[in-house]
Amino acid sequence: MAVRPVLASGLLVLVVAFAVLLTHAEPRRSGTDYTPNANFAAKLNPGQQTCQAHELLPADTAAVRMTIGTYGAPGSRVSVSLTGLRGEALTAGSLAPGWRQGVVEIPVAHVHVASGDATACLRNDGPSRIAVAGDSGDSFHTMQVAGRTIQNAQVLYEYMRPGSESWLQLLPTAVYRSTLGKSGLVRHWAWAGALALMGLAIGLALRTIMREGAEA
Amino acid sequence: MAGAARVGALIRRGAPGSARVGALVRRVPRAAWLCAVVALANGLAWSLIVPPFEVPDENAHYAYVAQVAERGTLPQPGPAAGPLSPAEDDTLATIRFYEMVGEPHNPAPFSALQQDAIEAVAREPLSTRGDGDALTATNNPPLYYALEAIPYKLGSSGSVLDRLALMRVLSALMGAVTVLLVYLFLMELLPGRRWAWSVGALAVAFQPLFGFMSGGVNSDNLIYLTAAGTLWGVARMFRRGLTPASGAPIGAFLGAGLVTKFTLLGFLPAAALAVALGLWSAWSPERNAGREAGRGRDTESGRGRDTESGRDVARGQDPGREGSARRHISQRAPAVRGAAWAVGLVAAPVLGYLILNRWVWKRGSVPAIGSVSAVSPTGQHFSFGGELSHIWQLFLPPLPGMHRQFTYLPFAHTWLKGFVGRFGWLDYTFPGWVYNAAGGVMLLICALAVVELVCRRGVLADRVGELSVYVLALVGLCVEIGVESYREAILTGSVFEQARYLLPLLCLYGAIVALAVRVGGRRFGPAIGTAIVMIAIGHDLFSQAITIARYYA
Repeated sequence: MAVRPVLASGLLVLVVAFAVLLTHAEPRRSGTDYTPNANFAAKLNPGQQTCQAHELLPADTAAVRMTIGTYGAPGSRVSVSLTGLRGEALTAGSLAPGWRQGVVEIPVAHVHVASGDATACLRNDGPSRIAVAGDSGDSFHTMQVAGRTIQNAQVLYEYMRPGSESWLQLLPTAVYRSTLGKSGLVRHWAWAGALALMGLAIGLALRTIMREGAEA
Repeated sequence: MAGAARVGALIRRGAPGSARVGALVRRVPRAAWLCAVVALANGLAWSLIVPPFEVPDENAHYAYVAQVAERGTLPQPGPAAGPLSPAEDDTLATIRFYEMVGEPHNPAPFSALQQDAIEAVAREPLSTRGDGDALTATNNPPLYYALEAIPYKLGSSGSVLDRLALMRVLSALMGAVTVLLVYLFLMELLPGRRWAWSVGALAVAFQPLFGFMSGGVNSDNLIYLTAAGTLWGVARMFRRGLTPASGAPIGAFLGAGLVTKFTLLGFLPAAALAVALGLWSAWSPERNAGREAGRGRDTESGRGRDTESGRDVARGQDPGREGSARRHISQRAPAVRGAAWAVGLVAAPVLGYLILNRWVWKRGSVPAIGSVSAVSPTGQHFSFGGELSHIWQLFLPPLPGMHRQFTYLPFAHTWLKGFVGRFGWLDYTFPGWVYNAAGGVMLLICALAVVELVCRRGVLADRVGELSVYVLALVGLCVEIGVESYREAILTGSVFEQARYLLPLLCLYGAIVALAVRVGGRRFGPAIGTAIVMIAIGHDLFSQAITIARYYA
């Protein structure tokens, strides 16, 4: 039984599987504030807001993803705003009433340039109370809830890119991110290096089994 | 096969001098080198994909190397974990290490602003010396760290991340040597069908957990190498008889493994049994004849002419019972010298380490092997019966009447799932269906391997001693892991075991794959082998894909 048909079939299956994977589209993140989604860190009565500083607002943000509980009631209006160090508005947006509790995405004005040290605020504009998820107890951060300072607590803000994107569309962004947080020796070519090395590994492996199979 | 014969001829000529070792290296089959290059490329690719310090305990292993390289001493076990060097601690903080570990939804740095902060820390003249603590790596013996101190020093003008990148290259090289040794092991173990050796070695080279570990700084990488070397030495000894040239590699690899990490204590009974069987074989002409016969039969069967029984072949070649006895008496002295080499090369580094550890590095006798107090701080009681039960249930389903040690089935949850793929600091996995599919493929490969063993039961009967050694290596390693797991559970209440601790058995994994390939014979074997290699490649690529998605999406 020849090796080549098996090899060709295997390669075809791999290519098809990767093609299916790469075309799968879903909302993608532009960044996060790294807060664990551990528990409900803030409870907001109508008209109250929670704010926290030192947020990194990433570029290409078009929504903020949060986990909000409504105690079973239909979701009412909530608004989110991000301001810079001098209080200037960086972006803002709101979620219209009618949403269901759980993970929600609050659309905001598109952010083109990243800002460090932003302050993020979430305001409960509705008539009933809400709970906002994050980390309460283990966090080293502080936040303000209805004007009071809460120690060791932080709300999770995940920043979302516009619309839905396939892995293929996200690829340039993933490649860019793969150049961050690595050694200067490798970071600019790490993605290309990994690709080339895997090409080499697969090529050598296939060559080896074809040659060995032919000699069998 | 010709390569194997040449290697064998070289070894039979006498003890390995440096020239002979050089010649031996040059005569390793080209396919073995290619498999090693495949493993090197895969390990390096993993090292470029996985963000710094995202291989388990990489921060601790880096700290150990820093201690060796910066101070020339080993880390000291202290009452509580202290800070690492300011350079390492600040780097870990700016790359968001503490937020990423155990939090699968938290990505690697995603913004140029974070990169600016990382580069600012790299430019700061922070001390690279810590307070002597290396966290979970502190108690380990120093061999791996002494070797890693070389790339650390080569990168001493760079940042922490630069040094780590260079150190990862050495780990990938160790992965490549491991695969080379797996190939050589398969050559010795299963002579006759060379494509099966390549398939077995390539299955190991593309094993994703192994590739992931090879891409990181972790002393386990040297354990995998030394374990593969030990098993290769054992297989070679069984094929060629116990001599200084075959005993020395067993001792050298096992000794090196023991001064890398005490996990390899689990191989000690198997190595002892192998040497004992080697001695027994030298004392027993019939055993020796059986071994030679088995070799002859394996070789013949490899060429598709499995017609004569091994003992007939042996009788045909034997000039007479008296001559045979004389020859075997002459084999006793080399066998004793071989055993002495094996024992000496295990004992010398271990004794050296124990002496230095106690009197030079002042770290106590053997810090990694401590007795457990009767009552631990967790309130759990140590008992021998409980320990046995824990070890059993860590790998097998509980027997009736056993007190349940786990709320889950470790065989499936820890070992199978971990071997198929649980990466990072055990914080991201495949979708659930992948594990079911992988379990099915593994079951099929194991079934094919069993069929091959049944078909070759005649040869198997001749080599039951050798098989016992491999089974004992498996059991010994499992017991060693089980003992550590039980003590960790009693002392801290935490879970110790991880699938990577079974990777010292990569040779046996490769052997199962090679056996499965052999069952297809010359007609179907290469096609089965190609299919297995394609599955291994796909498995590895998808493991890298979920890694990219976890950190960079």
